[in-house]
Amino acid sequence: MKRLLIILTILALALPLFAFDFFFDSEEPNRNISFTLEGGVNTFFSDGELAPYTTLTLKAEQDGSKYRAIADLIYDSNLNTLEAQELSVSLFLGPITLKAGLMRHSWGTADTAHVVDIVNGRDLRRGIVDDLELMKRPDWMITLSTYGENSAFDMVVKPGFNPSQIPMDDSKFSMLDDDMLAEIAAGNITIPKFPGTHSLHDISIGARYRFIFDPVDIGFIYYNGYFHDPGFSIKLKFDPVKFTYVPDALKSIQYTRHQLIAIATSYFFEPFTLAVEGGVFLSEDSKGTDPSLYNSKLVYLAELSYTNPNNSFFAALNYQGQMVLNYDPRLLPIPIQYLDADLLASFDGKPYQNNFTLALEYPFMQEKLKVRVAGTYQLESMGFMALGSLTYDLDDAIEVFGKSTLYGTFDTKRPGLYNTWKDNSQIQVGVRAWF
Amino acid sequence: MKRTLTILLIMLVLTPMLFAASMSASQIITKVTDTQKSDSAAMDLKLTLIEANGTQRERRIQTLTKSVGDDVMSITVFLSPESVRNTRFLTKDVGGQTEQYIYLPALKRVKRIAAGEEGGSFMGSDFSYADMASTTYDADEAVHTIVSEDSLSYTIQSIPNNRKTYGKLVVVVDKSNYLPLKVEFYDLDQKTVIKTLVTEQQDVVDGRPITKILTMTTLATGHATRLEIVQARYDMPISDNYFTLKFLETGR
Repeated sequence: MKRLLIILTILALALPLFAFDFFFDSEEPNRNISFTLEGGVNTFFSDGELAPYTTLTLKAEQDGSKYRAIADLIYDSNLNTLEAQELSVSLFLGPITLKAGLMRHSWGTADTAHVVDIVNGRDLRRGIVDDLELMKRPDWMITLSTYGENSAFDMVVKPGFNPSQIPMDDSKFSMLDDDMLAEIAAGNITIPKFPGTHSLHDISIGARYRFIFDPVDIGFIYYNGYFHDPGFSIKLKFDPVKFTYVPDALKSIQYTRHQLIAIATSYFFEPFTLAVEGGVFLSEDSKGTDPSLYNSKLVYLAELSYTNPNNSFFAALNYQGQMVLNYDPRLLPIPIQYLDADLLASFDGKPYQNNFTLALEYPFMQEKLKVRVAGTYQLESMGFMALGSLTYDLDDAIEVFGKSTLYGTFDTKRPGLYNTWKDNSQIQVGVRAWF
Repeated sequence: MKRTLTILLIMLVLTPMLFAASMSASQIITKVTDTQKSDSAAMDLKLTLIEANGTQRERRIQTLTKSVGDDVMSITVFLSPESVRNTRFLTKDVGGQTEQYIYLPALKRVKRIAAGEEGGSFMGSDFSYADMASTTYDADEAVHTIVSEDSLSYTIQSIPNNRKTYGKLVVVVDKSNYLPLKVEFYDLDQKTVIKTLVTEQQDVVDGRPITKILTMTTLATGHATRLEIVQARYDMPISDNYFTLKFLETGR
């Protein structure tokens, strides 16, 4: 114990690196407070509805030589919410960085999508947006990071977890299709109570070890926690009038504990980067017999990207997929029949799914005008999503933008997320200011 | 005796001038390079991007540079505008190989990127990456010729051995401290001036003459960038830990 205390004391006394130490009369304050105000209007193609909106972000950062505290809050008038994006304190103890609070912690080597970035749940209340971090829900956690000469280790402990924010009501980006929403509205189906997710039973722990063997960097990941997406199954009943099975009830909602064993690497061969992520999720429902729990699955991703340092042009082509193990695409168990959670989350009922994503960004006019284009095609459902945006800097502190998001499918009979959201294609015009 | 003393005094006064007059263009350029060389440097910089209509945008960065022999490491921290704040950029020129890494706070990740060509724009400014490292060619990088000379300055023409971006540079060198007063950057045709660099203010830091404020103008667009060294320190010890993955990711 005494030895441990001595080590901790030495770590605490170790001189931290602090960039501004070189400038004794630095003009930069240790406290930085900034606001970002965005206002605009959304128009949905399907109904022509105009939806004005405002978001206000406050970010306050206090930098000490041995610590950093961050408070990042966002008000979103569309969602009518005031939420914390980050509330964290970092302690810099020599080679160790300890960080605790509400935050996002990122894993993975690709730029446009990940299969191993699982520490945080998803936030799909705004649909698909051009900010991967904003599509992740902040969570309470403690992280510990330490670095070697060409290596890094980080560990995450989450005492419970914040589930994914997936709308299951009649809002625009609801995950439930129209048939299910009609059954719920008619009172034929009730959504069961969501279980609590903050108890000792819900603790999650994970770690990543990375090392750079130029030009390759390799990361090994282990995580023992929960899928943040709720698992549920739908009980069916036979409707003699329609002469088919129709939804009868939602079986209790559950969260599935899993272990992830994964690898995330990148290989730099100038001027390209090849990122590869892959792993196996080992579910607590190892045989895939519980219809409300997610099964084990394999996930894989490959991405080729290019960044031009002369003009910041960025391009990436990403392929990602998954294969659900022990997957029974039929109804089970018989005769009391349920639609399995994996089946409900699948694209067109397949045990596998494959997605291609292409992203491009090009700055013009001394970086005042930025053009972004991104598109995803989902092979099994033939669904797609396309994003395009133009951003123009009026000033260092003000930019105007126009964005368009298209959701759709080439085959409306195939179920999938982009099919469910096909009426959510929209155009957005707005202005963003920093002060 | 008195006459001998007078001759000696005249010789003492004239010798440096005679020596200076006999300096070759390469020697002058070497002096220019040596004047600006340091084992380490910490700089707080302000870049003001000025459009032809007078509209201005400002970028603040801080850089740390450390040289060991021919190896150079530098880290740049972006302070403003808000949209790029806390972006960190690491360059290592080690063993003739250049490695560049960038930490993007929006992605919370470090990316390795290709080394920039010398003509690429730095942060949307009129300075290229190569200009940020040096606004003149080293003695062995170009053929240097004295074009003219007056009591205050030398005018040197430098034609690079490897013509990638510029066909010719014409550098006006301050005789008093060997700092560039003005540089004209010519296109590959060696006739068309594409950019001009003008020193607006000089200063002395730690006994070392420095160019404190300089403006680069792109003639075709009228766009200009004013670079001001807000603070600078030279030749002090800088830990290697600044040039690491840890500093890139944590800023510590």
